[in-house]
Amino acid sequence: MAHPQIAAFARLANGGAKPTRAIAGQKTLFSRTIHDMAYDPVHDEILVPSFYAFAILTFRGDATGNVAPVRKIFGPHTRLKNPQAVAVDGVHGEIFVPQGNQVLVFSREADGDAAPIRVVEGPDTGLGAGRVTVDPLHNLMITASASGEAREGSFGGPVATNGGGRRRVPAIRIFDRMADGNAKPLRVITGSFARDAWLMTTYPEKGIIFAVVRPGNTGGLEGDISGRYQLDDYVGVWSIFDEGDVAPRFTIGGPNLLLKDARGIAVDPKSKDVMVSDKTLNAVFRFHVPEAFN
Amino acid sequence: MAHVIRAWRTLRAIRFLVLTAVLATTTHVIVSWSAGAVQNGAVRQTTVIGGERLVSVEPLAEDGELCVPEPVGVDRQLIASLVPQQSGSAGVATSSTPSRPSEALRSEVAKRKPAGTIRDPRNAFASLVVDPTRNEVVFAEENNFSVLVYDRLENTPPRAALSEPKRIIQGENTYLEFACGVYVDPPTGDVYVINNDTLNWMTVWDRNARGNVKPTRKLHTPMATFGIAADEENQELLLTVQDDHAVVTFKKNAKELEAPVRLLQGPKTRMADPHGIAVDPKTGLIYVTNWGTVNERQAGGPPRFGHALWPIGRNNNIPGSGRFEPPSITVYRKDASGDVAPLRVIQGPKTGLDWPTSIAVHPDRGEVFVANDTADTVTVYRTTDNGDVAPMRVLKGPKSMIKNPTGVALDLVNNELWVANFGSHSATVYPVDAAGDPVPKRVIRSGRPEEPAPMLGNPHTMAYDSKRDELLVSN
Repeated sequence: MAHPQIAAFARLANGGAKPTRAIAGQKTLFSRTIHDMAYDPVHDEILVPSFYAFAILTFRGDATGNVAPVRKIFGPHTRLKNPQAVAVDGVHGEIFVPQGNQVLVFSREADGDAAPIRVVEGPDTGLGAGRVTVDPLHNLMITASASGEAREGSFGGPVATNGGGRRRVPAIRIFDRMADGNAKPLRVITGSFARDAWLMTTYPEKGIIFAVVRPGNTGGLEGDISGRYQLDDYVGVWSIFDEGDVAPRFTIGGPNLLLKDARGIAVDPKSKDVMVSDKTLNAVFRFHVPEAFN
Repeated sequence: MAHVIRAWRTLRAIRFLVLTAVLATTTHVIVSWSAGAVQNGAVRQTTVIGGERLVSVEPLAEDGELCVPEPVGVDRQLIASLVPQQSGSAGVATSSTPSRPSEALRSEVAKRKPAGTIRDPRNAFASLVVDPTRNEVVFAEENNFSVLVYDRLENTPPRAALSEPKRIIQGENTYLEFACGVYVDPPTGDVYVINNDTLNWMTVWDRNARGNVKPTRKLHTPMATFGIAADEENQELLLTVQDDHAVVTFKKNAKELEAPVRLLQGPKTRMADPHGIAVDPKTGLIYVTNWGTVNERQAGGPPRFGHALWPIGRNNNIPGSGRFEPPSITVYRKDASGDVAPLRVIQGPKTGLDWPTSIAVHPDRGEVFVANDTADTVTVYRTTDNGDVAPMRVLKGPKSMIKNPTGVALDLVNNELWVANFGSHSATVYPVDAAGDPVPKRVIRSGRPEEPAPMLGNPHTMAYDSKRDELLVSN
């Protein structure tokens, strides 16, 4: 991938649309493929993890071009290691970074070599955490295992085990937002659907979780491309009150419809739109699904 | 009958007067209490109320839910803004499990087609190499996962939409995804292509390959290889590895799971997110461009993939060791191995480096050409430069048509400089000594000049910016 960037498109953009703006360049401190970001509407800021510099970068919400972040968390006290994902809780002013068998929590205003204010880790947590999202209305932190990456040990943690040496069970885990240390999740959504959940977002007003689900994704690391181009990906919709082996309430974009290697997810509750990106199709799709927001 | 009516009216009037008196007294007591007539043991002046009167009373439901009153003066827009990520309406939490939809509705939603699609249908040139022996230019193309071959002298007419390539390698059998580096073997014309961060294979094709074909052979590589260069004297291929801040060297004919023959990696190398690589056959030196983000890792553990010379991987990274360095060009002997310091480093504010993505060396001119993605420039240095030096020439400007250059190549036979412009569906050709804002000698376009190039490449995470009604998409 030759050119990392964050490009902004009009919500109704179509085709080979021109971005309204793009953030890219040396001053941004970006490195290759930005695997996650978060928008904080309360403070109008964009947060981006830096995979190589072990940093969390914060930009103004209206940033454009080759601009420097307004804050960056990095340094030996941060405990950051190849951060791929980030979530922000603008209401309570906290940043969440999943990192294998732990989730690091920082103050939103942290800048420089800041230590996390909480660390969720330990055998009772059940983590692997590949991705994270927050529901500030219900005071929840929600993690996904991103099982495909857990198999590869991408996060630097032990592969397929958590801090206690127990085997990780890929799942969506719902914690109290203030969970700290060896905290048990409040609820765990398990089963063949939830185990392949990846990037997520929430619609707090209705307690809905939207998650990209990527069954059988191999990552293409060791040459196995069987199933790589199958139409088996989709967006799964769960409730924050779901628990156990629960199928998603809705699936969007598949399976067996369109998505081959779904990656990012965003929702606009006002227009009832779900947006999802697909790496293999190198495209972004917008689905109008008012039913999923009820 | 009339006295009955009078009596009823009189009784009604009396009832009304009594009720009014009782209500007035009750209201006065309530208002006095709520106004804090007694606070901390001190008697306070009660507030005198005007003409308010109780109009009606409705009983509370015995077992119904109590509505929580909304605080006076609440700003619903403010509440909405406090709902993170996306909400456009008031943030009232739900407290129970919603009912599940019917199977018919689930099925209908699962089959629903998208209402909109953002996708650039045009080819986007990420990297290129010139084959002067066969008069061809070969592109690694990212938008549609392809390798494109054009005649070297192709020149898209100004009014034409685009130029069609002579050959295209593309499809699910090809092991091509975000191809970012390409090399052509001079004697055979075989085409070598490396993917970046989604498929860890270098693919090799016979020069006449086309369509959705399997590669003639392929080689397992470390994850996130970016640049490729050949040491023709030793028949070796050198690859930069972004993830591991390293250069790995393979025999040119290596295939499948063969091991590298050399590894250059470690903090002394000062490599930091290395991208482009070029070999100077005259001096035996290699030049590596670095974007600047880096971390540290410690050796240990079993060899990855059983290869002692495989780069130390990210699992050995030291938490908190990441840092930001300015972009640079680091120079080594081509046979450098292990953790060795560069012979020279071009780095600093005078250099004009800005995401230096691709590099080429002209051995006879003693010049190094660098494509700077976000500066929209090609900067030229002396091969002997060191430290914070300004480029000897800069190509930049609207006439040059250089836009987000991610590939640069030299045709040493015809003395031409080629640039792949990822940001404008084009490749442009200049005399090798061009400077300033030169008009290209030739242009190969894969789209009309006015067509936008959204530069989507491995679109990954997204977020909805509710303030601007925009969708944020990261590569």
